[in-house]
Amino acid sequence: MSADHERVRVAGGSWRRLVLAAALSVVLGALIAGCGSDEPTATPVPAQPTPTPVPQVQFPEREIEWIVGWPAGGGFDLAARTIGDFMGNELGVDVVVRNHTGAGGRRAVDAVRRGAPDGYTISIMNMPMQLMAEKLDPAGADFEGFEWIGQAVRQENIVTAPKTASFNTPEEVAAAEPRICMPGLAGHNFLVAAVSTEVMGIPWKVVSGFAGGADTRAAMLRGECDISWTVANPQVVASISPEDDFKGLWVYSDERLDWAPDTPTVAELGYPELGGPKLLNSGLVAAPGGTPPEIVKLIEDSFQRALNDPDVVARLREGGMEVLPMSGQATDEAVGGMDALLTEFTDVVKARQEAQ
Amino acid sequence: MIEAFLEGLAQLGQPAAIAAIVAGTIVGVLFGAIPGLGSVIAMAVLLPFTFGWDAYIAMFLFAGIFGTASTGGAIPAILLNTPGTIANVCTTLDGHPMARRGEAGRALGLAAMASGLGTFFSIIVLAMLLPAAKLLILAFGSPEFFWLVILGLVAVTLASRDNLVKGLAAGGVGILLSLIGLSLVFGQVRFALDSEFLYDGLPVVPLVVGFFALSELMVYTSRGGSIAKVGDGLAQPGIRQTVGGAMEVFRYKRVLLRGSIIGTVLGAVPGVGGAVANFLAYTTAKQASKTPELFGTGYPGGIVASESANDAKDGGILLPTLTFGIPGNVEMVILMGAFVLHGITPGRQLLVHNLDIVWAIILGVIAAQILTTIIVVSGGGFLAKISLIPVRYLAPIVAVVSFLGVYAIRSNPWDLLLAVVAGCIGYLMRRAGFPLITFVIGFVLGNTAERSFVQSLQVSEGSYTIFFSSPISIVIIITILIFAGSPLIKYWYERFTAMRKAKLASR
Repeated sequence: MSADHERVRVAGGSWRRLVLAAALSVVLGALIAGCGSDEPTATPVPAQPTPTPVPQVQFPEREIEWIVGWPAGGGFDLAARTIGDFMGNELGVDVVVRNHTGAGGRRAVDAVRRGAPDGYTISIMNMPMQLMAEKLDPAGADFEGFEWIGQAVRQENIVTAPKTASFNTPEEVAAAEPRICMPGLAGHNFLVAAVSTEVMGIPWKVVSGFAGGADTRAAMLRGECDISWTVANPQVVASISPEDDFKGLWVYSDERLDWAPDTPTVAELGYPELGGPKLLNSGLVAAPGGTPPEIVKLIEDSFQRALNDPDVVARLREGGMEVLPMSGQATDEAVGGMDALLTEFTDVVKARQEAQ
Repeated sequence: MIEAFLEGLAQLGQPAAIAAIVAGTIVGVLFGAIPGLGSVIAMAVLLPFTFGWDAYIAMFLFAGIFGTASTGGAIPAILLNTPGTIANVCTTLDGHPMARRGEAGRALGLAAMASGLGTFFSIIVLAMLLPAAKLLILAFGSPEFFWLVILGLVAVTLASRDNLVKGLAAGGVGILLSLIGLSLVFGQVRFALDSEFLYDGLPVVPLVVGFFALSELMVYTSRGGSIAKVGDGLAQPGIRQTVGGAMEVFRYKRVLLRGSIIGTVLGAVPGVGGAVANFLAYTTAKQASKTPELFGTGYPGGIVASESANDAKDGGILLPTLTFGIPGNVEMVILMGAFVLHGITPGRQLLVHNLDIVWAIILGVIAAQILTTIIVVSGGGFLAKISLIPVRYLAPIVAVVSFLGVYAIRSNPWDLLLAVVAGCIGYLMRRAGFPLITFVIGFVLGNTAERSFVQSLQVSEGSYTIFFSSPISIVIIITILIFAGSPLIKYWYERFTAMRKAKLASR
């Protein structure tokens, strides 16, 4: 790098222009920030004291924002866009997906916690992981009072290992003391592994920091680690096919899965407390607490119709996600189940995270 | 194999396919040319739209985007000293001095042609290596990866040889800043000051846009005038200059070949990416050159090294993606998302069941690259005129576009403030003579180095011998020693020949 290029001389008179440039940058930044502020600019819909016996709400009158805490192109983003398109057509306004990524998806939780309860903000959350994140944080929030709209998508959990591995059952795994492949010591797969190893008595020996599932599988083939907890996306499903190198050890669903008929469920192996929806990776949708019930109902009905639309379902399935429509009420109960399980295991998860 | 190739070729002839490639190329060049935006955003935004399309057409679109963005990124690197993508960083070193001499057209021609030839090289290698890909991927474990990152960091240090101490300091600060936020190996949030903004660490795009684009705008605004000082006897940018530049590439055959090889090989190693390839190619070219002092002053060979490597990585990076389902970077993650969306299963089955799709992508990248080279060479003269626009008009536009790019990624207003702060720090660093590039590379590689180091020790359960136990590690370590020792070796060699000459003279 040439010296004259790097060393910039600012002559006396040029300082003013420089200051101007800096000021311009700041002003521009502030302007753009102002435009994109999270605060709703329109006045919230007040509870209308109309004398009519049947409360009539004029909803929606403008676009609805759907907050996704993950980048565009991912699974939950695809779910929000696909379902949002359908709802937008039905409701006659745009349902705009906004990717508020960062802080492990917490900005999507914040959107519901702090958003105006007017029905114009909804958010998809990654559960039970985000519930755990709030529990681990001393300043974390609870999920009380959210108006649950329903479950958008869900992914199954499966434990896989190379076909050459000597272990199959949890007892054999515990005895073999394998090194666990872990993309990161945070996130959904970590949570399921942390709880499972505690319940099953498997020693906690991890190799962490892999860049996603494919990288993890390559590491298993290289012999760098031996067993992996993962959500069952299409790549994982393909990897346990007869012609590939991996086998499924167990799944967390209530029943065996179509694509893995030989892989037993945790309940079959004697751990029914881990099965069912509690530990499955779910994209749950909510509106801020206090949103008027008739508006929640409008959104929920449209949302549920989207999940019964064959075209929407086909798109989501092709994206590797299960669609199991769940009412707002049922979703609320499922979150309660997650909360009970996670409360029991918060200390375990914390210890596992700090074991490194 | 031949059948699948012909099937892919036949698909390429369809009108819709041609339209998809043209659209992809334009989007790719445009998004590559806007600092902060890039092929990742373009692909992510377009992914949902391709649902319901023919799989081939969607693949042509994506091939057009990811194959051309780094060529587009050379445009602002040359004209505005701001790399459009992080893989264009080294293009600024020689491209921009040329632009300031009024040779922007020549530099654009050089970049476009070097990019095109680099892509060809890597795609041919990819086609030949497809059958043997698994061996390559299995050979690179955490320890090998660790050494590779160290090699990248050593290359950074060498690049700042003009001022080693300032270079090391900037790189070191970059590494330290990269450790902020949630560490996936440790599962702990570090140095985040309880701030939600710092939870994921400092975001790289606002930082790079601030450091390069905004600080550059401050420099220009303080100087006034236009980027190129076109006065007496200096060349006027125009089409003739651009075509001349494009033809000039062939005078740097060795640099071109070396850059292409480095780009292809490093591209194939997941996670390393274009930035390191770009850097290593540039430093290697400088080391091997008979006239290393010309690098950084507007030397055509520097552009050839930088641009051939960052485009050659596209062929390399497709190798683990197509053969093993291991995405080497974020673009490839999205490409795999596109596979899934179109009912194609990534992984080894792809080569068995969907070889025609593999060929469609390969041919798509080639077609898009040819198109890009033609666009940049023929339009380069026009683009180069940007360097003649008075800065007082240009700077506000570039600032607005930069801010839009930063904000588009995750709609976080704080990112804009970070870009402004980074811009001010970048400006002060330039004034004090600290190289910005070593800082950025340190920032990009710092936590990768830490991760692969810890990972290796987790694999070996604490034994350090894992770092020296494979032939590939040994080869990389020797390369590092040669790199690190090269200034010393050169010094000894010069002293030795000088002594011999003195002896001969005294006789």
